[in-house]
Amino acid sequence: MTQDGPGQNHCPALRQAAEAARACAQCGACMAVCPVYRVGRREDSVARGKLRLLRGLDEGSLKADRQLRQTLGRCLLCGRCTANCPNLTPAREGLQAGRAALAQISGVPFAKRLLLAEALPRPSRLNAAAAAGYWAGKALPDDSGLLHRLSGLEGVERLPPLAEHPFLSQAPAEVAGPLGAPRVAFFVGCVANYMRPDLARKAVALLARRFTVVIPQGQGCCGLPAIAAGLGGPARSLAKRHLALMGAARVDLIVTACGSCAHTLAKELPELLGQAEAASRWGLRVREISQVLAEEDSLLAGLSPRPDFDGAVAVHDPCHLKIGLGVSEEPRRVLRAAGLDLADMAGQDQCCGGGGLFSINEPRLSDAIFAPRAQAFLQSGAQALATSCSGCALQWRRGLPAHLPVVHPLELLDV
Amino acid sequence: MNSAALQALRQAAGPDYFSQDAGDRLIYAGDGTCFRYPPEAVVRARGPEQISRVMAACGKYHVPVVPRGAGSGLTGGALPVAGGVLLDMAGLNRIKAIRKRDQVAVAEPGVVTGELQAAAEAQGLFYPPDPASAAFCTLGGNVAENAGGMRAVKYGVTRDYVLGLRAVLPDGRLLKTGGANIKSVVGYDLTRLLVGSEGTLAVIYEIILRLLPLPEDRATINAFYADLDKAARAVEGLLASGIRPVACEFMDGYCLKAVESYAKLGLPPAAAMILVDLDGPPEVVRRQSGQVETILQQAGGEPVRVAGDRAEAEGLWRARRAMGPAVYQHGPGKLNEDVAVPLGSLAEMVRRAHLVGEKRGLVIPVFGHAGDGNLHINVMHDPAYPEQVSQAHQAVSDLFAHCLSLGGTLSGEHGVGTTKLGFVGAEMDPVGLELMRGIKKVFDPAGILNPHKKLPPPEVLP
Repeated sequence: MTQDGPGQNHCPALRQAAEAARACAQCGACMAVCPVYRVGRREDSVARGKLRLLRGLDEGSLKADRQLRQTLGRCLLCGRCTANCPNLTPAREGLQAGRAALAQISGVPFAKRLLLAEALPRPSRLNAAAAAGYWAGKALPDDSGLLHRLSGLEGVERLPPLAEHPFLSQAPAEVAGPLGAPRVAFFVGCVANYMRPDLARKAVALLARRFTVVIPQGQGCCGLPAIAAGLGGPARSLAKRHLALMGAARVDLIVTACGSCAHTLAKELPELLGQAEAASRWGLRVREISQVLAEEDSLLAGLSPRPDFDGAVAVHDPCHLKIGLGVSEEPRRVLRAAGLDLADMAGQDQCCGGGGLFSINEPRLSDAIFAPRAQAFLQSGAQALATSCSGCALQWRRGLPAHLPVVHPLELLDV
Repeated sequence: MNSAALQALRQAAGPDYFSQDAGDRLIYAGDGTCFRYPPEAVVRARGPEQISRVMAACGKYHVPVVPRGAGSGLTGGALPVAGGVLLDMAGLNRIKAIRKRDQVAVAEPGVVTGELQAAAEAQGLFYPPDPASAAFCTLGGNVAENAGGMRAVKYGVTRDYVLGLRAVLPDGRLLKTGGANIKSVVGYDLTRLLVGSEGTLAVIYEIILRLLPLPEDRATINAFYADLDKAARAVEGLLASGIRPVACEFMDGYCLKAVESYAKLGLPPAAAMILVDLDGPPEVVRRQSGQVETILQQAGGEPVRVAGDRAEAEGLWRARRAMGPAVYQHGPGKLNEDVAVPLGSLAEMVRRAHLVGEKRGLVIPVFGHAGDGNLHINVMHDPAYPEQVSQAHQAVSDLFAHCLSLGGTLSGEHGVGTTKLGFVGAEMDPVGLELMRGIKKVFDPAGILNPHKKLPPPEVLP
């Protein structure tokens, strides 16, 4: 739908956003938890203010213009507003719907507009990216969220280079587990596929100790960047594709080594596909790999640390994992079971500022949100930072000095 | 606002701190109430010199100015009802100093109350005022509204901690009141005059606050009562015992039912719950919590629970903390009043609130700070039904009449703002009101600072 004017309140996404806005009692409690508000103290960065804007859009007092798009982009979709709302307002969901509404009303995809209008015209950001060789040479499929994540940013040179061969190009279709083992599917995700194939290999090897692991070919991006960008259509076609692929794989669980992918598959996909029964049941079967490891004593018992790593680990909780799926103890259990020391890090469950397109569109805010995280890490005395989300990992990698390892917990294990 | 005024304001504020954007005007149109009044422009405060320039420009062009902190107030104090400039103070959020030797903090008005509490605590100090919104409301708003909160029984309210202020007058002059002295009797007490003035006299840009040593230990006790009188006797007995609780909270049967249906805490069915917090040295807290347990039991409390540790204490507090959202179990709309009555009239006020509810066909849950007589009376209704809305407003009027007849006050801590403006004339002494109008004239002869707030216009006087 690309119409403007009075027709826009027939847009379902806008209707959803406006409903959330009307449910908001305007108490202001979201200000206490919003990472973006806390660094800027601007009412337009917090859910209460943004929902008011969306209500204005719905009522016709505001236009779907560039400024509104920018304002709505100033959100990490971390979900703290919803999780802490005394009145149970679905704030994050409303803001996400608002982005979709803006994309539809203005006929310009939110992300594309942001990338074209914001990132590309700034040569400094582009140069950094080009220097790192991300835009040149390496082919990523059009629907990979990585495309959006890897435009030029400070610290991009510290990111791991794209792998010579993506994991999926060399992965077996199936890795047999012990006789009669339950079947699980491994969902790779863009970062593991293109940048960290070793992580994917480790995950599959660990899973195969207990399960038969199916690695469906044809899988792609989980769809989070598209959803965050308000691109409902592409996100839905990805969702449908994955639903079909995983259905055909006949598995008990769908396992991924990324908190954001896990959250998207578990929570967003059923939402996107209209709560179809199959989709909902599918959501229940999604796990981040630390959940699977922590649930299986036989797997925990066999873990040991990587021999070349010595020292304590600080764990950063990804918002999508902790707030979205209620998972925070599991990765720590895995690390402890392997005999690793965990360092106490202040604010370990606070947002790192890396969410989705945020660090590209709002580099200064993103850096300001990250700054206290880096400081807390340096004060923790830890030798490595472990986080179970590819988005958080990229943010930490860009933000920490290159000699300090930023890893997925699995990468500290000896496999 | 004409273009010359806008031009002057933009220049006074600095272009980066000035906005007429439709979105900003919409966002800053509201506060913690359900009302919306879009300002004509939004200025983000940058510091005293800029505020002074902005005030001077507003004075010159007769443009109203409304200062706003977090916009979490419940009576419309930060609503730009006359348009003009909304002065957003949230960005002035530095804690400039915590002076341990002086036991004071110097802070800008945009500092969130909870941030100051935490910063003080990190140095073994204590900022006691604790409004329910401490995690997001600002010190500036607390000072302007003279915010109260849960710890008022023992520690008083914001007023009792403000030692000095730095403010900009409506004509742009900078004003200093008080300092870091705990005692000072030189001149009239302008500090206390500004505290609770709801942004009608001056724009505060720096606050000097008194801090106390951090209490060593805390204890929490709660008790349930089968009838209201027993609960009232418990509160009376507790306050007469010589023990000063930090908090002594009360919830009626409607509240308990709502909380149970909302949060499923396994509360026993009861007509009232009393929740008591104590603090002090561990040995004193231990002895006093035993005494409080006995007092609550003797008044008929069943069951009475003493929290064994902080986690258990949080468990006991959960029912009280869930109250805000839980109250909507009784209806989607709420008129939220915060009358206070003399301690001896507490049970009577609650009874009368329930009777008003029966008369108006509405549920009126009551909870609040029993230890200081401040009750939150919630007139629940469904805004979709005009008849209910009308009954709800009449219920508020009834409640205020009962409150005043018991010698109470119409607002213990939320302020007058705009929502109580039509009623406060009934409480205020006419001579006092005349003086207040005179004071407003001295500070703000042009009447540009937060107009139509705090003091009733002449036509609503009794």
